[in-house]
Amino acid sequence: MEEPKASQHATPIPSIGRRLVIVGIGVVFAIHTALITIWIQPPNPFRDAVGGENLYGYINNDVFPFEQSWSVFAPTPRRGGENVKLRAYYGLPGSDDSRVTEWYDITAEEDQRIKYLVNPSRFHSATRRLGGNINSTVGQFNKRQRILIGGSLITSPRSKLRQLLEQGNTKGLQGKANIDQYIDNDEMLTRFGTMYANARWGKGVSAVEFQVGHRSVPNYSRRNEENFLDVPFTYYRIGVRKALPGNADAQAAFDGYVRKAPKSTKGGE
Amino acid sequence: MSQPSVASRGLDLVNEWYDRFEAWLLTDKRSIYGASLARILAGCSVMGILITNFRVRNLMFGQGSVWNKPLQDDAIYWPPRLIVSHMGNTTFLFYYLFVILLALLFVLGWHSRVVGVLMLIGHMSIIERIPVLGDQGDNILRVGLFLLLFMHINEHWSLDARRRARTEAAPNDGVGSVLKNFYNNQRVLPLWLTNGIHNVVLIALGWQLIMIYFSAGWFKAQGSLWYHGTAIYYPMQLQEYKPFPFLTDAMTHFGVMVGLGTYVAMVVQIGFGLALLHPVARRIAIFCAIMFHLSIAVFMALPWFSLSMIAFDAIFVSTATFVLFDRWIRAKLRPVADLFWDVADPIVDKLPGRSKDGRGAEDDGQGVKEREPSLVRSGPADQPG
Repeated sequence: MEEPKASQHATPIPSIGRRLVIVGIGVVFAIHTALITIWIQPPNPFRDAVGGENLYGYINNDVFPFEQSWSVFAPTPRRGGENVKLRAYYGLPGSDDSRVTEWYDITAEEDQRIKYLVNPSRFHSATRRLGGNINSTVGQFNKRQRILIGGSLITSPRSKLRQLLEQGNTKGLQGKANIDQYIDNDEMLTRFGTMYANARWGKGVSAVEFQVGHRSVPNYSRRNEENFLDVPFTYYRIGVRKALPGNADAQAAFDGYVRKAPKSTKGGE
Repeated sequence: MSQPSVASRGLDLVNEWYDRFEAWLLTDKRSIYGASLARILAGCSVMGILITNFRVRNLMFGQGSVWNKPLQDDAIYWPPRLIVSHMGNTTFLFYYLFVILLALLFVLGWHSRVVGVLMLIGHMSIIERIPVLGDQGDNILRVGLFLLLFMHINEHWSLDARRRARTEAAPNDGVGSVLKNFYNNQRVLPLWLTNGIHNVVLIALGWQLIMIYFSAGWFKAQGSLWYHGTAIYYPMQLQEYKPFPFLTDAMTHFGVMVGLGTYVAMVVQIGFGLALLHPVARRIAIFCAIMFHLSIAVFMALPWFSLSMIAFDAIFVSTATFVLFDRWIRAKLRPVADLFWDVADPIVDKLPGRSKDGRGAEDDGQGVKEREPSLVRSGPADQPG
């Protein structure tokens, strides 16, 4: 085989001073690389030696974060999926002049859009991701906390729900972090659902309500007998939430994407 | 005569290895073909992600992404906050198209150093607007591109290389000449420094990739479903990772295929770094890694993550392999390239500032450097040997 052409970058070994400059640069990158290595490995004694907070501070620095995690599908791969159903209220929920739409499975609609797409947008997984996050946090809640999230939140702020959930927390800091995560996802789902509902059923949505369904992939040994899509969902309800609309541009983005409800269902159940 | 002691021989060996490493690190830029291909493929990944999400850009990254507000408020990334968060839908459309254009220019290697920085900031400002939908493909692309910016990524298959071949380096004796050299992609910093930085960062990127594979494999090795050989069956049933149901079902129908896929994924990831130490094992490992990512792209609908990984894996491919590949593809594409440049050259030559006397590699006079063998108009010297 013919040898590659001589390099235009070839240079003799530089002087000791210049070598020291390169060594200095090398040390900087070596420290960086060592910290990245410790960060992405499973929990290990080196992480303890560096200090979790120090490491976190370096990886998630404000200038250029090096955040990464490679425990994808491991040690236990994902074995289930979530769907989110939405319905919307017009007028004050529970009042005589209010009306409510039928339940609508947003995630199923998105699944139709991504079939046979080898490069789907991640937006199609938005409700699945939010539903999954909510499912995993609710799984950590106790009975009292689960009853609380099933309650309505129309006149009180979301901070009230957080306060009540924290009163029922029995798991210390981990439980508090779980509540924070739930509240964030609850708000995201409410914002998403409000704009989605306004686009699907028309403007003026006053509140939204969700059901999050979970189903598990059939066991490997039954893979040729059972189909994942035939497994029924187990749903739980998240209470009615006051609508959180976006600005005109945000709503326009949803209006251009969401399929409008057929006229006959616009009036509700 | 006494034999040298074991300790003395050991020290000689250490010295010899140190000298070899020092020469490797300081006397030339390594893996510049791989770095050039990494630039092209990583740029394609950025373009692919943005084009894929073009239709839903406002919902994902623009004003419509306000549904993601709690996480946007807490996000650590400054580009989305400073650049994109205040843009209306129309402004954002133009900005989005601008970043796609930057990615295209990066792929073409047009002022790739400056364009690379702008593209990375632009890409982050858009992609990191939606932390809740982020994935590891974003992370490796961001980190890998950041490291590429310190490397010499435009030596091959780039417009920068053409410009470098067409122009002459001026002595760096003033701001004007430095800027001119920088614009023309001529040498601005001394070789010993750029060689050192390039190679140090090359090692950092290589190690980053090895650790990604190793940790991904290591996490897997801790799971019972992985060592029972059934792990990949479960995520492949989920709707978002099943773009072609018939293809997935055909694969998972046979337990052997599931087992093979599961074990190969785990073994390749854990052993990737070690395999790089041997020339044959390295080729097998790189081939398996590419196949692994192509499978993920097709079976699990994650093409841009896969392309990013393949892009950075390119730095492990040897120069000899790239030279062969370069010549093969050059021969295959020559008729197309000739046609393209027959049309393009007369237009390009009319652009302001262009030399019309044909000065360049073909009429290399005294001291004019060798012309970049880019994918255009190869002379006889570029014919396959």
